[in-house]
Amino acid sequence: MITNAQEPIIRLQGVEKWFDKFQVLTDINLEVRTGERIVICGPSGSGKSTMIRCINRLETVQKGKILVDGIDLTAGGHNVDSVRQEVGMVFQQFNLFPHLTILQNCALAPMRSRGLSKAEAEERAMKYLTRVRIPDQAHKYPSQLSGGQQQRVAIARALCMSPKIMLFDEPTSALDPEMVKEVLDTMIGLAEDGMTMLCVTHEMGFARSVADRVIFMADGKIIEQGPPDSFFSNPQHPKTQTFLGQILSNHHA
Amino acid sequence: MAPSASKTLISLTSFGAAEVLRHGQLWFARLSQAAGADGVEVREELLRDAARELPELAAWASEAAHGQAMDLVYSCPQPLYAADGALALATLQHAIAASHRLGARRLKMSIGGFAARPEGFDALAQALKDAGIALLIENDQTADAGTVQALERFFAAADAAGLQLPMTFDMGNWAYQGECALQAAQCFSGRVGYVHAKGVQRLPAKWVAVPLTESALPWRATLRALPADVPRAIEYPLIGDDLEAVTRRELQSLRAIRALPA
Repeated sequence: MITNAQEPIIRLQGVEKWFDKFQVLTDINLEVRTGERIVICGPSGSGKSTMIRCINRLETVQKGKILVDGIDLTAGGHNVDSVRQEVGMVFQQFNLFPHLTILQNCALAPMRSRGLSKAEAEERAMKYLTRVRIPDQAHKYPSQLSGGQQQRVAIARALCMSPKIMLFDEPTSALDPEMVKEVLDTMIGLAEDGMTMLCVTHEMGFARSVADRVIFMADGKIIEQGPPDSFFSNPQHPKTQTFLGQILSNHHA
Repeated sequence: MAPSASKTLISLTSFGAAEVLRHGQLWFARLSQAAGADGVEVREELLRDAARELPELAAWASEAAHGQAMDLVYSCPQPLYAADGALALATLQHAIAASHRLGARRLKMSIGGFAARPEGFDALAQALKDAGIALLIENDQTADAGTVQALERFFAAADAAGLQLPMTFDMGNWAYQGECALQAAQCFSGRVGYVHAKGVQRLPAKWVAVPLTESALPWRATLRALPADVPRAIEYPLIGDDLEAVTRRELQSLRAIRALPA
């Protein structure tokens, strides 16, 4: 794996994607530096989830180039597995295996993909369950946990693979408002530790306090991007202005 | 109705809508029971499959718990009166049938668009008499059904028609319509049959439910003005990694408040 401090860890060049005849991504150009925290927002159907799913090749693209940690995801299929080991992903639905305990959920992938022994994988799992502040839940099953706890397990599970990049696709959207904070606090902790993060979310308070850069997407395109201060105080594009007006008033309603 | 004085319940919405829909109300009813609740309020809007869940909850509640069955209240989110002011008899009958399936002897509804017309009270009285269920009218968060004036008007009309209905007094809901909870307690105290113990705090542009002890309202004076011998239910967010412990602590807190001499 080639890592050059000067090179962006993620680079999307001229990426275009269609679902049948519907173009969902149009001329996406994005560079992400190691350690950068990016929040992606935009209206429903704007392509933001599709874009981050392309970064670990959960989605393929028809045009353009995607490089992750020096590996060209668009050049052929054989590098995909190694890239996926470097990129953790957390989804809106927690996607834990219901028949496995929390500890087993976290230890499974390191044993299968990283070749860790059971003892090593469980030790690592406990380390990250402690980090997301739920070591006491290790021997329970997902159905015994709250949504906020399950999402924290999903984060711990991703961390168990020692990823270089973490992708979050609306990680708090399925939670009651009272549980959002416990997940965001966990993500803030990750950001403070220097993790490269791309997060699709409408939690604008999180974006303000954590993001180095906020990206606004609409109609499959990156419309505007910038540091949170200027993005929120002085949005340039009318679509950004409209979106921010709606979402900020909803959050205060 | 069996005596239910001093019972402390949990309104299952306290655990969060997404959580309750994910786990089901029986899961949280059992958790409430383990935490020491005397019963639960089952929420129609949080049932995923009423035909399956209501009998399951009924069976759970009837099982002996420390020698005593769990108390049940059925909460119907549809109002008693339609927007045009007419009695929503079909809604009432639906709610009564659901209460029967649950085995609940108390049904909670708000008045909705009651238009101060006398018609409908006979049908309402007959439906409740046939059902053997107490209908507890709740002050909700709307102007139609959550102000002192709207509820006074309704109860006066019902009383005049010979139908004396008890009330679910939601301590926090009054704030949403700018009413004083303490004045409301003094006004309705005589007919309160069930209390929603809910504190509220004002965020920049909305009210949110919080534990009583964190309320911006004079909750202690309000409770003192309400009858002490009616069941009270926690209805504010219960969250925490050890949810049973959190629930137990909040139940103990509410019981401790009740235990204080007036």
